[in-house]
Amino acid sequence: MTDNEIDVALMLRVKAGDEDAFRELIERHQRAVIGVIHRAIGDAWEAEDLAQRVFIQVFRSARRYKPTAKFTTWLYTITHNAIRNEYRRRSRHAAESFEALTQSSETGEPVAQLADSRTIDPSQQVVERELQVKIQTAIQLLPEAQRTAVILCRFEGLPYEEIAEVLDCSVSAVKSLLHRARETLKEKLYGCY
Amino acid sequence: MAATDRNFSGKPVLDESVNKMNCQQCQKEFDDRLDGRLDPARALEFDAHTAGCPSCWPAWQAYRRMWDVVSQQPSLVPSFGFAQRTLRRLHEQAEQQFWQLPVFRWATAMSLLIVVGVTGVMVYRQAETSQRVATYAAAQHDRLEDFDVIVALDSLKGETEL
Repeated sequence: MTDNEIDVALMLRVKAGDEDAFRELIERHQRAVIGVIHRAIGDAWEAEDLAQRVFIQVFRSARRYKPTAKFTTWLYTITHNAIRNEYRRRSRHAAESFEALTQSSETGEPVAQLADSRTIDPSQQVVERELQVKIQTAIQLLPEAQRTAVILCRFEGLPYEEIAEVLDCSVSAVKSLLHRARETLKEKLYGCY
Repeated sequence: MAATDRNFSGKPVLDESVNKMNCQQCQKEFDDRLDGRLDPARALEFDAHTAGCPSCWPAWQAYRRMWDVVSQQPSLVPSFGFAQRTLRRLHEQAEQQFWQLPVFRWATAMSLLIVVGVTGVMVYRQAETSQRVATYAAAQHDRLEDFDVIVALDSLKGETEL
């Protein structure tokens, strides 16, 4: 049984109101969904909150779910829409979001929850932390579609075709989005590589 | 296919005649090479060209290294009990939504309307009664005043007759 077949089977059980199946579905995809959201919005607490809303949306949409596309494509589409709405909400409270961005950059609030099993000396940790903040900020400042394309391509390893479905555009548009995003990142991260 | 020389990558390169790719073509394919979307033959050509080209080699290395650096960002680990909390939130929202059903909204609106109506009627009746009492009191007062005048006139009349 492939991963997608397992997801579809679970989703069909969720459709019938099976909460255990829903819990299993969350456990299978929580890391990916939280990861995508965190990379896009930067705040660890808000990433979990938004991820919860994504899964609740999945549960509510279960009745309308048809296993025509790959489950993860559908899940990432919901996630992408949730991130887009969050950015719209933030743009209405521009000062707030700027504060959050600078706070997370300066205080390093999400660091405590980041996966890092390496043991490195403190000065190196500071350098690495600075680099991570720089990367995260550079990604967050990309235009919406470019940001999602980079996250899905680089961190989730999605093929262009799947990214195109999530973003509702053509494969060549995805290629163009990725190229423009890479050019921007190259400029923004100059001196880091 | 003969290795002619060592180059920028330190690996032997293909003969110039075999490698037909030019710099413009090569730089157009940076993204495809990075994402593994070139077919094996084209990938070989690409590698051969970049390895031997003084302008493409540093550009390709910078492009590749930048992409590697981006991937250094660690991922966020979901906190313990995330799934459980999500389910709890789902239940809470479902409960809230139950009370927000149209039936309950209509019932609340109707109850409010009835309370407002009954209160209005009661206040109106109260005001009406108060007004009636005030009118009656005023009329009584007038009557008493008239009585006093009659009595006074009667007494005056008696005095003149005497």
